Amino acid sequence: MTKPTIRIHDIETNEVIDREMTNAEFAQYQLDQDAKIQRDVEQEAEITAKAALLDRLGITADEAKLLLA
Amino acid sequence: MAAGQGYIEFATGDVLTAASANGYLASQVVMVFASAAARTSAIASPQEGMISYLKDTNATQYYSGSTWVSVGGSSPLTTKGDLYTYSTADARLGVGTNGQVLTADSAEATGLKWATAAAGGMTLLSTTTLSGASTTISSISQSYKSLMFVITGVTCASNGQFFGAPNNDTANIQFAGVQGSAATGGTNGKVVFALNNTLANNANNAWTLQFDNYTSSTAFKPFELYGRFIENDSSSKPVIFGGIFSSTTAISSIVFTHSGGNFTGGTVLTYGVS
Repeated sequence: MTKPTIRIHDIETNEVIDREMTNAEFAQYQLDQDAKIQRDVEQEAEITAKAALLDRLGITADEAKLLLA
Repeated sequence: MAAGQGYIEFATGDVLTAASANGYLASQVVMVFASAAARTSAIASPQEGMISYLKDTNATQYYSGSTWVSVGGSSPLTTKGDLYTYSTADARLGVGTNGQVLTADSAEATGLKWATAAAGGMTLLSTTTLSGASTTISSISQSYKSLMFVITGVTCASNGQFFGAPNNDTANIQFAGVQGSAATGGTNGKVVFALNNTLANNANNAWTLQFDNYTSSTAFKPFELYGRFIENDSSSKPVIFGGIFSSTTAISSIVFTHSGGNFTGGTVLTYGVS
């Protein structure tokens, strides 16, 4: 399996290296991606719950903001 | 000649002797000569305290007992811009070159010198194009007081958050601030440029991130971040965050990542600030 590449810019020498992730870097990358997916799911659930609540109340998001202002 | 006898007030009937005329009058007036040579010719044995004026140099001089000395000293100044200074004697300090400033320096004979003012402002250290799953800017100079990154046009093929980790440290960033109209804050571990996902493939974003005292190996580093991005619901989100990098390690690198995956664009200008 091809791992993602990373870029390293040494600004003292101005050398730019593009290389494949090491196993350790890839493991961390996968953890970060899993966390991102989990976070997106939670955000989507929050948006869905808010929409459902607004629907039950029969008001729009802007009207809800007006009530809370 | 009996010179320098001081002062006498003659009374009516006093006889003015040659000695009195020489001692009280001739030797105690300002004698005018065409030159020093003329004076030497006229006064074979000058006496301490005599005063003369030399017409060729416009110098008023007194006799010290061993030599003629200019009254008030002579100016050492010779050239436009010269400064009148002092070491163990009066001294001239020639003007510096254009733009130099006068600087105290105890190593100099006069304690002064002209020197180029210390450079201030910002120095562009590098321009980096974001690429791959992460982009590291390494070997950051330790010669400045603050470190500034100006980041523009960051894009990723998927929605996601944009992060920066000084020294690839993902545990020591604490911040507070405002995103959009909402106050926020907390411990994120990394510098977070967008608390919500940025919109995929949208380059309409820009941030400035600055770390102060970044070279310290004993103190934490405050940082400030401001800018704007487009959230994945297409709303515009200005951000103003401030906080601290609670690490005593000097910042020599920073790693940029995007939770949406690989960078497809973005530029980072790295500045050293004096």
